[in-house]
Amino acid sequence: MDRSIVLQLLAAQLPADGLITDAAGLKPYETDGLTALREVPWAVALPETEAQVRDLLKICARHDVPVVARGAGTGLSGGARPIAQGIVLGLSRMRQILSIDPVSATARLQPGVRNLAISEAAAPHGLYYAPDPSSQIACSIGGNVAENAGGVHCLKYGLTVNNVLGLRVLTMDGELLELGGATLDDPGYDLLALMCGSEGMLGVVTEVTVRLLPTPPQRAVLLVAFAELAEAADAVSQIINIGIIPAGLEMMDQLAISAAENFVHAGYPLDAAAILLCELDGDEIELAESIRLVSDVLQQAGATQVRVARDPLEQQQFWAGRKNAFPAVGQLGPDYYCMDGTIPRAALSKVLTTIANKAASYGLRVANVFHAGDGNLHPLILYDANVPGQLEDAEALGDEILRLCVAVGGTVTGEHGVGLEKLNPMCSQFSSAELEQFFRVKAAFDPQELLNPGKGIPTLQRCSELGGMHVHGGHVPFKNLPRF
Amino acid sequence: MLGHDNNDAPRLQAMVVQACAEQQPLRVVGQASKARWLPPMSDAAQMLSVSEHVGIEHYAPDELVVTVRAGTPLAQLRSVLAAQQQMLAFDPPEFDQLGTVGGAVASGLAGPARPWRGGVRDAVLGVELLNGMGERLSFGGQVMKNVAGYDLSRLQVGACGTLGVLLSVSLRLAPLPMVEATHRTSLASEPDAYAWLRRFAVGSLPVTALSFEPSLPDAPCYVRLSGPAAVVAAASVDLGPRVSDADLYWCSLRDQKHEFFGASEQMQELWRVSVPFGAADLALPYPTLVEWGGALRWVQLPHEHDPRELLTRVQTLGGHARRFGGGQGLGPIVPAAGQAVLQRLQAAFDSQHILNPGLDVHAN
Repeated sequence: MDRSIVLQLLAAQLPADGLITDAAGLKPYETDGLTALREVPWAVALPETEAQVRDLLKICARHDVPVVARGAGTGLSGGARPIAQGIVLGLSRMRQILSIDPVSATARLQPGVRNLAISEAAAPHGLYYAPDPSSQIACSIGGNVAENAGGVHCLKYGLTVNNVLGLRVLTMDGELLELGGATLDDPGYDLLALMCGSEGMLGVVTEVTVRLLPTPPQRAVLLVAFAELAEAADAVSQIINIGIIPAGLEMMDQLAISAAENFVHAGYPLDAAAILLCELDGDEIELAESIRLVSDVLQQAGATQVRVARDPLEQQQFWAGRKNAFPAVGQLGPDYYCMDGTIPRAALSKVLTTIANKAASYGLRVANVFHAGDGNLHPLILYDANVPGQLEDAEALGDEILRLCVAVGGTVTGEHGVGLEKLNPMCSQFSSAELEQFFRVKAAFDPQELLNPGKGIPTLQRCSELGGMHVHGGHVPFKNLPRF
Repeated sequence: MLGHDNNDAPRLQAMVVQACAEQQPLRVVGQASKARWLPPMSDAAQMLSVSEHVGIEHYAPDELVVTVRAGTPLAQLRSVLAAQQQMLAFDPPEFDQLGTVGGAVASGLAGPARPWRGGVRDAVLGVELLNGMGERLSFGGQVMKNVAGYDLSRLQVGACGTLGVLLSVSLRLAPLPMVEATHRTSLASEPDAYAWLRRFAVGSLPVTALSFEPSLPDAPCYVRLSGPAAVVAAASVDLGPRVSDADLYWCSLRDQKHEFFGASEQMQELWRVSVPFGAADLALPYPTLVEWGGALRWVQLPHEHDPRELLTRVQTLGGHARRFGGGQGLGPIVPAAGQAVLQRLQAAFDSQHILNPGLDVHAN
């Protein structure tokens, strides 16, 4: 394949400024939110219509050119890092809100629409879009679908997959798949669910229909302190046991608390071993009832302090500490490495103790921020890249933490995706036969292996070199299957 | 383990491995409670029953998750969950008081609370399955947030066993509501009953089921409210009298025991119509029963009537319809463009095409 010929063909399908090929213009596209991984693509194509996307894909398929779809580039696992001799398909110019329908409580969106913009557009109708990843100011709905993005409210309102009703998807050879719609179910295979979290490896999303929810009339935020971390974990179970699913339920450990407090002065108690932030929502009656029930449970669970935010300003203040936890922890040391494992909540005490012990053996500190309701743990490993060996130590510790998550029945990534970052830990979670099944699914959509190749699923070879995979008796099934 | 427990996975695996080698078609069933809803399968298919693979492998009420073998009767699972004040939010049907967990996931059918508490796919966290080559594979897990690998567990929902034989599934649970009350009101004098339903369905009241029976003289509407006592009490103002045997009513809809579904199959065929919230009246002269606040409509179509009239009307409303209960479909509902991908996807799980062949899950 000849770069200049391919670029000429692509340019012919795009508006005058729709193809970036110069070094300076390509620079911002070298990486996504995982900035340690960089690659310069051949070009960045910025289509404005579905038809242009289809034409670009067809050209690339015909000329065997790899394509990496990209939303806002906020992903944290390298899923949108370019391929050296490939094209980045940037969807940021497809950012129209096609319709907000208050009657069916749905919104039809182009993939580049920002997450927060959906709720802003729906607000006049008393509606909002529930999934709210922390990057919601910038991240796009197409990227949310690719990563199955979550957020602090997904315990009650679900992930992207639970809130998307329909998709238009182009396969690598330019075939349009219309999946779902504004109805609640569709006969046939649930390709809609399969697309969510597929990291741009099965198709390119060109339109998304989401369901909107009525904006809760009121909300309350509780700041709860505990002298023991295990008590905080148990309190979460006890809230769920009385039949209340809070809108948000977050936990922070002592190091994270002190970092956040220093950073934004949220009013967190510095002497607590752990705090819980609990958000409840509903109308006035429901809220009063929920606050009463939850406060009782928290007191019984040994909380040393339960503070209900007095007003929206204080609610915002309580949340500010949590939402700024990552940059706050970033202030504690030159660098940090963010993990994203999910564990059954029952294993929390054990996992946190083991993490602390392992960290001590590496001489590293770890702050823990935890989506307590749904078991998604974000250990932030502090290190200094300028100290020789510390980056490697941090990565090794991170790898051990993820293996631990798998060992206790969890997963290596709750919401950040595998991308390039977590290919190795995937080997400890899946057997060779399971990885082969993933590859066959990939091949069903993209037989030429051109869409975001090399991401998401580790090759059997990679895993057997790591020694982490269950290759039974040296027998690798489907020897003739092409691998990435 | 809670309740009856039997691990039949080794036998099932051996059968699939052998069937794959011999290219022997298999008919995968649980208790066959939904058989009348599926098209008949070829006589050449050998029965593969998962009904002896039963038991609850893991139940953590605190984590709102249960892992249960596919052959486990739904009734058994429901009673174990109820003892812990929990439930399957998607409330799957038990036709003829039968039905297994595997069948519930494979068919993808959800009960009256679907719009408010989610569908089958929303509850599935992970599966263990045998693919058509007899490999025993696990996808997903027991945690709600999990993006490791493609979501091959939710893909099983509604696939009717053509993408694998389900061995066990992990399901997210919901707490039982503190209080539940159903009220019956009449929409006979309501100028636009469907707009009325929509306002309730998409509003902020704690509605968890909403049905409407326009073919009855007083056009009754049943509203179920769930939540803390004070909330339910406040919301029930102006909703008409409270129904005393409400659970029976909702189960009669869910399990198709309601007299609407009792119409003679010789005379009529049952159609299942899925439309967006707020869709207007179908405006067709056939007996109709409405669930899901208007988003699900059941229609009894007399045999002699051409279903294309119904299909056209449903498509105008942005929905789709399928015949519910045997017979041949009316052609593919997936545009031809997607067919090649679907065939390759099926082959990716079942290279010899032995799992429920002839069962076209994409047809009407």
